[in-house]
Amino acid sequence: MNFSTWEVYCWVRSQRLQKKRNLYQQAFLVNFDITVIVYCLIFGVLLLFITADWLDRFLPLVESSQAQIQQVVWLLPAVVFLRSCSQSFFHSGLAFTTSELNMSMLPHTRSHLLWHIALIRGGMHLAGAFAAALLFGWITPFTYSFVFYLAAVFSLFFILTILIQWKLFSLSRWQKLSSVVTAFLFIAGLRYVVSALDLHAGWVGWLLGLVLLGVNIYILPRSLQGVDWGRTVEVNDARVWNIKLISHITGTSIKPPKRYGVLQTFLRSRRAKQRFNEIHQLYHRLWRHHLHHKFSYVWKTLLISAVIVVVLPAQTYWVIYISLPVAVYVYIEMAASLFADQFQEHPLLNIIPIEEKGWLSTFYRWAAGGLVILFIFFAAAVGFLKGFHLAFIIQIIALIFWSMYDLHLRLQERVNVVQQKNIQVQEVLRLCGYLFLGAGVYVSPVVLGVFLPPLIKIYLNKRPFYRSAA
Amino acid sequence: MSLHPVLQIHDCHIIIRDQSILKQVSFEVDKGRITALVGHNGAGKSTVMKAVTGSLEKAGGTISINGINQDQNFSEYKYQFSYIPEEPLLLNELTVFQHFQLYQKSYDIPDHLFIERIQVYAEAFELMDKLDEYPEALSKGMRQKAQTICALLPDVPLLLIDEPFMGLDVYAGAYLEKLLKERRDLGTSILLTTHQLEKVHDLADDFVMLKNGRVSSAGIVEEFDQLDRRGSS
Repeated sequence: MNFSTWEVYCWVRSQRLQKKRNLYQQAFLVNFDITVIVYCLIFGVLLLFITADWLDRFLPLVESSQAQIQQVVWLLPAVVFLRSCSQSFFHSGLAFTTSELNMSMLPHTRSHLLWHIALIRGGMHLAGAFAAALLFGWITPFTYSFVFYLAAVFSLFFILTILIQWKLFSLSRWQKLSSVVTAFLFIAGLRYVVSALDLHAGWVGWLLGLVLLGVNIYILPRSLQGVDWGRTVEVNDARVWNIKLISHITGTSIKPPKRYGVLQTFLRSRRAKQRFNEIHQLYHRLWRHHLHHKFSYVWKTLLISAVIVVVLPAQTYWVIYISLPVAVYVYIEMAASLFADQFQEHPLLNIIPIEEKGWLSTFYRWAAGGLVILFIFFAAAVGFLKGFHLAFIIQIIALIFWSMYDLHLRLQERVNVVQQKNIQVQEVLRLCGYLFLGAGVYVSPVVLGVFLPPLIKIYLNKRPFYRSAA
Repeated sequence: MSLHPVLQIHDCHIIIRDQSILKQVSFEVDKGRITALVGHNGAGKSTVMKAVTGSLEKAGGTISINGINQDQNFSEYKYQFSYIPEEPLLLNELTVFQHFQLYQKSYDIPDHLFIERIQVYAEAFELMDKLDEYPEALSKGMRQKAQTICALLPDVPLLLIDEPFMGLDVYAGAYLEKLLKERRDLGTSILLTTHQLEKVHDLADDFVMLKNGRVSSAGIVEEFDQLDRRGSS
């Protein structure tokens, strides 16, 4: 018994959906209470009725805005077209995954599979657009004819741009960029010609539709030519299996591996292939890649530090007594987490011995570099709000000392965790250091108290019974 | 030759997602012996390897190499073994040679020994012209060779090898076999997993057979031959 490509594709797709549904169900059951969901649904439906009733009061306003929107509907095709061009930088639009690729090794051609995927995508969007229009027409005072008209225009142009996005995705970044610019210029030119000839603005949409139809007819027989299958499958796998709820709950996002942009090309230059003369160069290389990979955490940490050290005290100055220690604490904790992450992420680094000194000293430089930015923030905040004075010099010296000292301790602590060593952590001394730091911004001589915790630690380590306990 | 155990696994228990993968696994690998860990698919061979490397957390039991307990002195414990995984674990950021440099520093390999071994192994594994390539530019076999050289660079008491001949061509496989025997004769203990029964006969001195996460039998390889002939494997 032979199954057609359509039957096999539908079966694979249904199995995939079922697996995803099971995963969603598991995530839901773990994180949501059924009773709460039922209540939410009931209140959601009630809310819809209330919204519909409430929006009826704005009927005249909506009627006038409907007329205004009608004036600019010609923009919708252009927006849909430009949207698909810009989306092509990120994904192909047609979810051709590893499963489809493997199916194409069986007696099912890629062109057939691609057709089925396109058909389902087009159909789903068509149904979605009209369902949304129905809901919108019911809830809002917009007329049904108007919302269905919008849905029809959107669906038509969406379908016309499916293949274009698919083809654009496999082109180089520059080709895509030039395509977007060309599309933009073409639409602008079209608009100029239409207005110069004193035609109705809707002609822009019609003409664009005709051009897109022509492009589709041209692309259709060439849809499988020059496709970067590896990248297409890789990106689509990540998109199809990036189950949003689970990603959100677990705080992880399955992203396709990044391609080599300008920075990566530089990082992988001939020079980067040279053998290291000194092992620290190797560690620095790995840290640079790691921090580049985790850049979203790096910039967010620096941004948060900037906000709590500069922006909040600008509103109320006394906040800096609290916000400065908090910013230093947050930064150092984040730096320490990023440090430990390197060893947890790479299985190879899990199994080989860790040369602590080299790994620590190289990362310390990177983390200290970021701390300099924090010091600049603090100097800027104090300088703008209070002006520079002698006490500021004492404060900045103490801040630098304490930050560097605490960073050193935290990194040592994390490396101990990675190495599964049982070392006692002196949190009380740490807390004292931060209290001195905050209080020292208020009464500057107090800031010298940050030198006490290290001195106490040295004293404690000299006591034999304490050393053996640690 | 007096035998003293290098690797000691005692009552090791591993649970993954509420399922017992290893149950009270206990065995030893003696100094200067090659022990083959055999068993059906899913018997727990790779899990044992991961438990020994410390990549998997144990639910119970102890593992020690040369008397160094994994739970008590993990950092020192890691210097006692090197590992060749079934799938190469190379870093995308480093070229093949840079990986060797990472191993050199991590295991504190003296320069002269490092250079000598790179020359010999890279030549023998036909990797000389690939030393400055990134892993993704290499075939799977080449990556496996690079990973194998990495693990062979340090002189460690215990070599752990998960499916050593998987992905290697005939010549590289034969060379690795010769190398392993040489290392064994020099006193290195080797624990390897394999599906290739003829390799067990040719290479191993002892065997440990796993069945459904338990040690079903163990002994010298001649006893394994008898088990094999009876069709008990």
